[in-house]
Amino acid sequence: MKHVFHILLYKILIFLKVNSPINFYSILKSLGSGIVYIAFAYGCFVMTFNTIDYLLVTVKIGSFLLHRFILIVLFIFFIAINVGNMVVSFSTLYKSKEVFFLITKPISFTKIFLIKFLDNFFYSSATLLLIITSVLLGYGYYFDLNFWFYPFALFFLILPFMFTAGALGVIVLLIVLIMSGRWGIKKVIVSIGLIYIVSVVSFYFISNPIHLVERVFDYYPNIDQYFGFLENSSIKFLPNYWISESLYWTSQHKIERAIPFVYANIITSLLVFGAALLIANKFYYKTWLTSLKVNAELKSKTKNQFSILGFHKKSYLNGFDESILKREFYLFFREPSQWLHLLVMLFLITVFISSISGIDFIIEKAYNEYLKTLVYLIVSLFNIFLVASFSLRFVFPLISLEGEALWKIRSAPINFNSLLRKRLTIYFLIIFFIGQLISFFSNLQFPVALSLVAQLNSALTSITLISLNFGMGGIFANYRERNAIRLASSSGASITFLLTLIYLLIIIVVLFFPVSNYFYSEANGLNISIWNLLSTSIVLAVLALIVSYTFIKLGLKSFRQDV
Amino acid sequence: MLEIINVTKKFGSFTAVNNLNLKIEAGDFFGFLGQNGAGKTTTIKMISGLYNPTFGKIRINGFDINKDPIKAKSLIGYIPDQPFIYEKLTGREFLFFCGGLYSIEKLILKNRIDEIIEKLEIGDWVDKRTEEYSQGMKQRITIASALLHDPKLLLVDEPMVGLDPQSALIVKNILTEKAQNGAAVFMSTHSLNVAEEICTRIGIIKDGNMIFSDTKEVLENIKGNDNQNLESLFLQLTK
Repeated sequence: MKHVFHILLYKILIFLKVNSPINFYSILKSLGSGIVYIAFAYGCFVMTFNTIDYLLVTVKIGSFLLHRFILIVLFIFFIAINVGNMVVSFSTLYKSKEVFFLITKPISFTKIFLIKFLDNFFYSSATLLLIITSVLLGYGYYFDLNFWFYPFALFFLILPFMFTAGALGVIVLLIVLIMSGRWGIKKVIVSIGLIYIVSVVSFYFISNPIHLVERVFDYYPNIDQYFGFLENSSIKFLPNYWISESLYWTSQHKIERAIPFVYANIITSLLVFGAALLIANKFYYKTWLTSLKVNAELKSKTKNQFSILGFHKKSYLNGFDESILKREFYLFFREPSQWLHLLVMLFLITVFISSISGIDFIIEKAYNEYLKTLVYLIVSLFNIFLVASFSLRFVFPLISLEGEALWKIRSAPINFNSLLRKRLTIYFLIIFFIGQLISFFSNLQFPVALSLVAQLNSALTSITLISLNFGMGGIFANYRERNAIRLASSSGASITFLLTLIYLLIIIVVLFFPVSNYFYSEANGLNISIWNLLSTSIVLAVLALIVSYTFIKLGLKSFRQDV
Repeated sequence: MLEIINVTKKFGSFTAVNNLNLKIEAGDFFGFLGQNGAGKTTTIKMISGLYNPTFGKIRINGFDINKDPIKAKSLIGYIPDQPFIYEKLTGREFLFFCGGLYSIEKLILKNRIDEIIEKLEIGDWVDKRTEEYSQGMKQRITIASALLHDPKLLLVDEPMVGLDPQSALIVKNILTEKAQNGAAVFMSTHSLNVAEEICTRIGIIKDGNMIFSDTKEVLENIKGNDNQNLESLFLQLTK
């Protein structure tokens, strides 16, 4: 372990030295970042407290359903960490220059694997940990839990849970590469991808949250009791269930009933991590060699690939536009981590939209307008969250990725603003279109007026989020990093993500009263004011205007600085 | 062709280039020498538009690189010391991409690429992705990309780094030919032999200050008078 600690120590030193040149701009940037982190943590705390209060006191869903809602959120977290680790680990464990360097040194492959795994896990989970800590504070404060709850929940519930998800992701990656050696990467990716999709979709069918809500509502108004007997027993083997149960019993001050779940969570985490180390011990070097072959296999179709869009073909565009468009296309589709991530995200959207089809049932059966408002807000926020994820993953790294051949771009007789605007337009159109599609399909179950407003608001939030990510990507540009995934999980990206969450809070505030008024008026046969709903769009339009003007300008300006 | 007027570049309190003045005419082959960290690359980056000077002006054929960057840059061909290129593009695709940045008409570009590929002896490598290239092959593609638009000023930063003798000879021949055809070549190098062999003018920079700038003949005279070679003269001047 001496090697591992030695290398980790230097990694921490490198991390601490990132912001070493102290000048007015860097101090201002750090101060701004600090304020964003603190404001965000506080906002998260307040929002958690108020959301729980709203669900339990106003909507009256009962503590059991609240924890089943947490169970689904945890499942999404698990999938996000799991898939994220799978994709990022391919770059860090197999393509990173650091691995090439370490392999030439007298260090065992298992140790290299361990170092890169820990590096990867903590680097990409730092923001998530901040969010979860703030949420835990809000949760514990609401249920008036003792001080010991916070370190206990963080170290014995959340961290092992995240560790299980991360280690499982790396195990899947190792298996993919082991099998690739025999059957070829493409076949294996398709097969494992299908198994993964079936597993994720099965969760929704097995847990069937809509059915559970319906059965719990049968007991209304006595819904503040434990309804575990209504659940499918298969979900009791999942880590997100253990966390949800631990939290439920802790909130009920019956810690003895939480202990078995905490125990299962920790043991599973250790077992999965141990399994990852064992597999790595035997196969990491072999898979590393396979990855070289895999890379060669993925490169092999260079000739005649996308021949319709070949650079040599005649084009109706001018030389500059053609060059930018084709470069973007080739660089995107020849980088597996780019298009694979896009496919995964599109898959998650499909799962989201298909799982939302049962919402009309909740809307119809909802016993008060607050529940309807809640469902509408959740759907809207999830839509925006998806657009935010696309923007963070694909727009934030845009300016930094120019670093790959910056010497050529900066010394060429071209207008940089025009170059960046054109690149932004390509991504804007794609993300905007995806956002509109998500909004259309996920709002089909709501009344027409609400659907139309959602569509309009989705357009406005897409403009805001894309501009925000573009500008922040410029402010925190790192021209030395060529890995888009690492750029999208850098500290600048974390701050952008936090700003996005603050923006989501603003949207909740803006939407809440007009939407609940709408449902109240509808339920009580009162006059429905469409203007009331449209006022939300006006506020979001003003925000979109301010944010896009400011951040696009900042992004364009950042590209002119010395590099 | 190139005018550097009272140019200073500061990074915080550190002065990388101090009040530099230089004029290079068409057909000149200017060798820019100096120790590591003397300010060579910073100067080249300012001429190419990668850095903005803290003070002073840089003009290319009369166009200010900061005030009229598009016109000025259309006359420059820049070959950096670390040729990062898009790894996922083939050499040929990268050259087409670069041609597009200079708005070269497609048919002319096609012919130019074929011509340059042949001249630089890139061969079949041109249709492979650049991530498979050796350092020397990457350097050849970078040089090819700088020659596509027939620049009037060629900026070359350490061109011989990582090149095998055959590649080095090709590069030397091409740069000499460009100067003979009327382009100005501004080349920074550590290789004193190369500078002595192909440059018509020599400049030596030390700690950001130009300590010598004249024709090769003047340098030969100094060498002759003191009975020493370029290496010992360089070491003496930069001590």
